[in-house]
Amino acid sequence: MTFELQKCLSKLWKPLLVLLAINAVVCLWVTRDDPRVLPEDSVTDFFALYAENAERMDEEYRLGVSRTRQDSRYAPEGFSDFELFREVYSRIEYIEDYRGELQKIIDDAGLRAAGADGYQRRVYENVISLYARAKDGVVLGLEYTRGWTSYFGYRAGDFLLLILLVYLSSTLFTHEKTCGFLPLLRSVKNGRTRTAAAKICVLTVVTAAVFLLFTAETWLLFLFRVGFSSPDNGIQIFGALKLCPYVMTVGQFFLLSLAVRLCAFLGFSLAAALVSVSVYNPVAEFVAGSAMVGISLLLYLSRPLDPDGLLSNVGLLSSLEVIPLFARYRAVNFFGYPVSYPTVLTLVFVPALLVLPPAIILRYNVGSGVLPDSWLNRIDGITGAFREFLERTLPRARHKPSLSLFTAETYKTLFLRHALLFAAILFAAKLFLSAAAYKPPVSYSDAVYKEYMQILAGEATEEKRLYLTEERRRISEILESFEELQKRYIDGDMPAEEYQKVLSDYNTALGRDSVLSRVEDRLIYIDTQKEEGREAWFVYDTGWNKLFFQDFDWTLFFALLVPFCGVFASEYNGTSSSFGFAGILRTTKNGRRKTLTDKYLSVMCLSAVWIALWTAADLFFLLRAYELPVPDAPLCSLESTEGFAHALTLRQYGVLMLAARSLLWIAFAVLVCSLSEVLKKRMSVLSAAAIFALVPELLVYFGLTAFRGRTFVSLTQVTPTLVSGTAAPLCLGICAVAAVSAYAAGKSWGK
Amino acid sequence: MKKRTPGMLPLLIGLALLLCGCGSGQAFIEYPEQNPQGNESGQIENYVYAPVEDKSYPYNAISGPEQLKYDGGSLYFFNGNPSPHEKTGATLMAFDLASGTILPVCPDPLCSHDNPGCPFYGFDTSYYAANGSIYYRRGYHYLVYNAEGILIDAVDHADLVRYDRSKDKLTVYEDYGDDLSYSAYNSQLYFNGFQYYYDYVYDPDTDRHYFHICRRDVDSGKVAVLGGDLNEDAVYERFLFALGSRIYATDGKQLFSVDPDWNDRRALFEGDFSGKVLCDGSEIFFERTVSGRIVLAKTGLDGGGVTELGIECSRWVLTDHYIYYLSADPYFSGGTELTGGTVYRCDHDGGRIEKICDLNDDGSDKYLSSLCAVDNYIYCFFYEYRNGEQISYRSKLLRIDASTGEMTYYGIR
Repeated sequence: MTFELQKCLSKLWKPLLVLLAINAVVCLWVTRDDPRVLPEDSVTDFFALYAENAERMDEEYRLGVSRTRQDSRYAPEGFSDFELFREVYSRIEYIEDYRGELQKIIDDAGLRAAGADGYQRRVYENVISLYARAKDGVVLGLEYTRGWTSYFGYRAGDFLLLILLVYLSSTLFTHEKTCGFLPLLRSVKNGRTRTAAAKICVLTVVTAAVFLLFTAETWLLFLFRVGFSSPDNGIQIFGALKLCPYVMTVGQFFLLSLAVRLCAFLGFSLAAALVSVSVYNPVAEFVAGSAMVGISLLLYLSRPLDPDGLLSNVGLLSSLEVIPLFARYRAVNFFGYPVSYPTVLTLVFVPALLVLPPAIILRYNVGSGVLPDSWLNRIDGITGAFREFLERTLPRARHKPSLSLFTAETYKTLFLRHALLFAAILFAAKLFLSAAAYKPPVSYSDAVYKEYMQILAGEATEEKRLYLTEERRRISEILESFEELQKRYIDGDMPAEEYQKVLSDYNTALGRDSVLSRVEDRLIYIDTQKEEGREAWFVYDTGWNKLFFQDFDWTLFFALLVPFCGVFASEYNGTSSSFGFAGILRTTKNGRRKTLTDKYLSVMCLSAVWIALWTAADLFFLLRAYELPVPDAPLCSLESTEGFAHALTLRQYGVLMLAARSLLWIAFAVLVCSLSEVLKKRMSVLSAAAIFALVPELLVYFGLTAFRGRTFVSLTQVTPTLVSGTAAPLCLGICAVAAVSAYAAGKSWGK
Repeated sequence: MKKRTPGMLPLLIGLALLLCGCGSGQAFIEYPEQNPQGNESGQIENYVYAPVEDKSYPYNAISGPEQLKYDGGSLYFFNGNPSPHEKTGATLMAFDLASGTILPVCPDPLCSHDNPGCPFYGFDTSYYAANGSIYYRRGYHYLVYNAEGILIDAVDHADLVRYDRSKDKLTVYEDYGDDLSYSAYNSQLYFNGFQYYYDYVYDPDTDRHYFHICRRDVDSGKVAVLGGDLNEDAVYERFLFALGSRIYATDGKQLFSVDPDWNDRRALFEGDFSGKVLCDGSEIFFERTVSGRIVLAKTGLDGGGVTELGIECSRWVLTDHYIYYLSADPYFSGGTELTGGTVYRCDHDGGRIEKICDLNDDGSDKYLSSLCAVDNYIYCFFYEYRNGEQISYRSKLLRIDASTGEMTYYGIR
């Protein structure tokens, strides 16, 4: 075990230090002073003052406290006394309301329980007993609650730790396989079960240790930067946990959260290790690890829309956040009996932590060390058939192997490790997702809107204004005259056929009324733009908005990342040729500069083809479902792009947007290719590229707003950053990063 | 080996020690909590309910925008102003008339009703209550914030749903995705397990929408488009009520019946059916507007002549035994003219007129915005005026005992 531990630490300490440093920077940024918020120390001092002179200050507050920021008595410069007093009294009100709110819940549940039976009745009974206990047992103290909310809400460290654990789990078990030592190791006395058990012990110890390191670092930084309020106060003092049904203090909750989070991280690293010993393939491990994190992220992100859902509350990321689990009583129906979410989580964690280690040992001992042969045969069969097809269709390729380095590199990139098949699967997924995203609209309102906008399309001329006025008059007239016309029909003064026409007009006018208001609002917008010196036209913008505001393309991301991560790395291992072929290759005539150039050219051309295919898929489905009319209209005709500073037409902007996006993706492909040379290992390339592209976006989601609109994800969505005016420097920045990395790769390859 | 094992235990101990010393130096103040505040939903204290069986015929078409709706012993209303763009916390409430409890229809006592996890979040003010289920549209623009209170996402979503109260089950009939725009004619008829409604139906052949009567099986959600070919507007009729196996409808002038598939049209008779038309199961009551006043009349199902009831009113509702109505005469609050200041009832022949109460008897002038009569009680929401100034709207539900005229107010938050 000591040997395994030393081996592990020797590989881990560098990435660990880097990630700890990143975590520290993020913590420092999150805990920075905000000049708009009352300084923590002033509020703490004021609470102390209030504690000593409560009666006098109550009286002072009752008589009225200054709201101006100039003549404040207690507040620091730039703030009013009223703001300080509100800090105190908002907490007093919160505490005063607490038991009343619980009593309301208890009463409500009691009334509902009377009319319910079975599972629902048991849920209500649990609510009553838990909240009655909380009502009697929770002690809420008046204090300035500081530190804890930010600390519990801080999530960036979790992602950094997850990345580290994916790396740790995979390297721990795959190292022997990678260097071909695994069969030998298995043949020795302690080479199977004991080795696997030692590796699992190391994994567990190191996971726990790095978790505690990250926790301690984060906690200490929060302590020194913000400080923490009393750990003896009831956890319900925090709004997010006001309805927590359990009686516990902040300190107890902190320890509980440590335990839950430790179990979650342990479960994750063991699951990642199981994947590792099952596939022994860095790419597959990366994809599986990403999938685990991705699925739990999706579940986590769905929580705002489904806050009570089981999966969105007990998924990996939700478990790591802990607060949702204890925020309120939630239960799942287990054969008619309610099981609370913390219990469900325990029922998941405990068996998982017990079952995973034996499963890893079993797999390590008896597994073939690769994907099951049947799978490989099938995959090989598919790619082999495709290769044969290409050779049949292009007979020259079979009889006369190309001497072009570019062709050879392209061929190698496409067929190495089934990259083409992988890309094809992703493209199929892309087609499916695009078809779902761009379904033809069947909404009546949109159809009417489209009709109006087609009539009005173009500049807001006097004729069009007249048309709108006339249409408004016509609709109002139809709606207003209906009763009179109906009376004429009832009185026999109107034939049935004519009345049917009246009814038809009435129904149409009724449906168009609100849509016409929307079109009239657009005219107001056009006039506002004109006043500000910009020109805007009438455009049916549903399709344009769909085109300009696309989500991040995950399929393209993986289609570029996975095939290109081995462009150089494959030359450093034995997969494509003999082990360490790079050394031999570089001694040949064209092995340095020409090979390097052709590899990059190949990657750029292939990524351009990929991007073209992906864009074509989007455009095909978009144009099938929506129209993109009046392409010569000014861009600010769309209210959603109002802030865009440059005078472009929709068509020009569309081209610019697609070009900018293509450029960004090509830069990303170049970056991946460069990382492949610099890091020399697929797993490292995948991790580094994923950190570069995705982690900043996750950090934004979890509060690091400094990255908002500056992440790779938001940049490839283009329009939001173009509208905010930050796109050009950021695009250039990404391209510069790609260029510098390519330069570094060139240097490294040329050594 | 022990020496080389990373110091988990010291780390834990260190953390625990730091935790003990982490306070800011200031112990918190044990704050004496006040008694629970009274709340306005829940069991009504000293609730007295002495019903005299008198319901409304259940197969009349339901008007969606009517705020108060009665179904199966419960009176429904929403306790605020639901908004697709704001987290108002407004939700649908159910007043159990027998027990005197007012509770949110959302079955979760811990729900704050201000997020999409609540089945009634984004609730449209036009809704329908029938046979223990609520039918409604949801539409919202939901802003998602992270733990730090920073806006991180915005979600648009709209759908058409049914909420079955007996099973606490939400069924989505139509998912409109992010299309929050909506046009609908707000009248529906619930009959024989079907929901009859009006809709703009899309015809892919002509790439146009046509206005049709549609029928949805409330259990399977399956929709049938009724009333002729799809490629032309087919709604020239307004369904009124169902009786036996026939649906009764009018084009405003002619009353006719059709079978549940909207076929086998049988003309009955002609009259003025342009206004409100209700059935009590045996006779048809309808209104006509004369000089701005509503005049009530009735006719038999066989069309055997129209009987003028001699009732003039500003608003009316029908129960098995009575017609409840508000006076047509205007009255003034300060300089503001209001109508319907007095509540009356009469029998189905327009006789035995009883004045129930003056709405301004208790010192505030009221203009009723919604009215419902069940089992000898009248329930309403109202705009409240003082000296011509509107001072409140729908903050309270008013119950009037039809026998005594006693007015009781219930807070609805």
